[in-house]
Amino acid sequence: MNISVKEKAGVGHECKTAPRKLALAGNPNVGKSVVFQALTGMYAEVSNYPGTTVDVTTGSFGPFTLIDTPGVFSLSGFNDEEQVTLSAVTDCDCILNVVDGTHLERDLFLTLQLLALGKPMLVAVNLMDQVEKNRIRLDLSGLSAALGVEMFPVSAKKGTGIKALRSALSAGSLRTPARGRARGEDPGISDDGASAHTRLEADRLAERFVRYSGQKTVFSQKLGRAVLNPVLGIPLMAGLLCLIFLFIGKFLSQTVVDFTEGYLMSECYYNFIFGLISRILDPDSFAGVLLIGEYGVLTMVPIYLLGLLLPLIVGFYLCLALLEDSGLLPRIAVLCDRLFTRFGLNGKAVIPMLLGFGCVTMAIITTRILGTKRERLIATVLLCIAVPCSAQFAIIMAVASILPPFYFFIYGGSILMLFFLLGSLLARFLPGSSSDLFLVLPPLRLPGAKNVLRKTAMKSKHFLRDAGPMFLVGSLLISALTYTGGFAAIHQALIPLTEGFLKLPGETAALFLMSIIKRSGSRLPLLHGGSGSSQLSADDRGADRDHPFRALLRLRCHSVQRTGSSGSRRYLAGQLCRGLPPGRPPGCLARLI
Amino acid sequence: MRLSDAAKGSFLFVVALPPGEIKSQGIRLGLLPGAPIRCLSVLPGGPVVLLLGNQEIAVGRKLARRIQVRRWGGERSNDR
Repeated sequence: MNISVKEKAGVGHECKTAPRKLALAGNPNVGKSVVFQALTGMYAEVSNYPGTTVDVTTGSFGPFTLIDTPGVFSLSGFNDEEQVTLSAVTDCDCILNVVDGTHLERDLFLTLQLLALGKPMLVAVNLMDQVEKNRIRLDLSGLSAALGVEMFPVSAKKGTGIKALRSALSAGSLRTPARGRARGEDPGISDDGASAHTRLEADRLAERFVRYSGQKTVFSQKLGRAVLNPVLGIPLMAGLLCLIFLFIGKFLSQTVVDFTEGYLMSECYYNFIFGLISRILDPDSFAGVLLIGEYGVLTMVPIYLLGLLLPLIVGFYLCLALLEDSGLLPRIAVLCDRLFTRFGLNGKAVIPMLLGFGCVTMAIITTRILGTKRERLIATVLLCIAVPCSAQFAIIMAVASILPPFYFFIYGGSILMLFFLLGSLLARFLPGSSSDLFLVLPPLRLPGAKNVLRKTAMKSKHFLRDAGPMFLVGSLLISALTYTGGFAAIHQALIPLTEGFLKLPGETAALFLMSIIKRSGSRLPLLHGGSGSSQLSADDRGADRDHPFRALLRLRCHSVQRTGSSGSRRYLAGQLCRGLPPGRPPGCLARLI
Repeated sequence: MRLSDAAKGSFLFVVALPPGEIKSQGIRLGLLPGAPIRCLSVLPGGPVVLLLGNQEIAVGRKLARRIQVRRWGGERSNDR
């Protein structure tokens, strides 16, 4: 590593090129994570919705360790994101401030606060392609001189300007602003007076260096506003959600899964692995049952995770990423706000609710973006009770595919009713206050393909990583029970209930057992009174994962394991339905799962 | 008057923000007494979307009732 020290006239020294910590900081939705990714080549969580990126991500570039922080509007530390960002920028050696070229006056507030820290700093002005499109003129050299730091015009999406940024970083040429320049508030103190002062200064700078040349409303702005008009917005939103349900519920969960699970995994892979292992072990031995039995670790677990859940999960996160990156998600939150206030929540709750369809465990983590404890509790309860996660959804879809669509509507209707009833009751009887919606709306944009795919890939990977171990444990447990005859005993014992009273095949006893375990498991977070999101460590977004109640929540994933391996979610669905007397709606049964 | 009573498309000045977090958040974004804003839309029974500079901000209905504004060039303090 060469150390280059150059004196710049009166403004400061360059930062030595030894492994230094470089923190990226900026407002939400400025493309900070895209810049991070362009520099590190590593995937970083990129969200178009404030509060989604709560963890920090680290990567390396040249002589630097890069730390990506959550998007914040200021460093005053009054919420978790700001605290995390504040600690990251205080601990780091240098700062890369990413700003949105189309909202420079807004972003300069944070820039001034960062300058006040007196650390070597660079500013990357992102979204320059939009700046051109909107005919905004930025005098970056003037602004750079006024602030005392170098500014780099960049379009992370298109890839322009990144090279210059990289070489500047590699050369280690970060100027340290003269301390007295920014008369901003001391970070960590939420002082309205100081804030107003900083705000005024930011506005003055913007006045000098930013020109909106007679810009008329751009199409995307018009569209964005049209979407918020409930006459257009609500049908649009309903249409979008229907599209997503059709995509995941019909196309993926039937057509694609038929191939991946029905053929690829249940036949090709199963035959392969069974053939392989049965040559070494006796399939009826204990080890054999554990590995390649009906609920075997090498049979059921991969077939289910990869054949059944993976396509659904990928599809789900893909849709979510598209909604986030396009700017539609916050607008959906605005449209839903009125509805959610009935349940003591606000529009922001749409995020955990949507995420719940993927994985309720992860959705509960996201409830941290809600303002008060009361809201977090309400959202958590609703998620545990009334939102079907992907695992449950897969089963429901299997049952629904066999029965006339009428039954699915009954199921859907009863879920909605449950949601409404529960939400209204909680809102009425739970003490405390809920926060109001206050949402900065990002502009509508065409999502960048690379970003969307990367986000989807990462979230899917995390899901498998989190759900995988529980599936493994469950599979071992169930296989052991099967081998020792435990399940058969349970079936027998409960026959009076299942076959006698409910008139269902005996196997459903085990289903009920699993769902009882699941439900008691998912009740536990309520004892904690909310999501209780833990402190975040700088290097591990997985730090959250160890929170105790989450392990118990994952028991709900066990529900999917009862269906066995031989392409049998359909089989089970068929069994369930055959056992029913004609005319009896199975929706209630599916709900129990 | 209250922000929740503003007409769609009207040009307004912020008069007062309710004390607390919202006030602090607002100041950072430039939502200060005297700041010019435009009411972009008012969802029936729902949030008010305003334009501050070139930034769109959605404000929940309850909160909008607590924000005082004044019409541009219009009425003085007729706070109803």
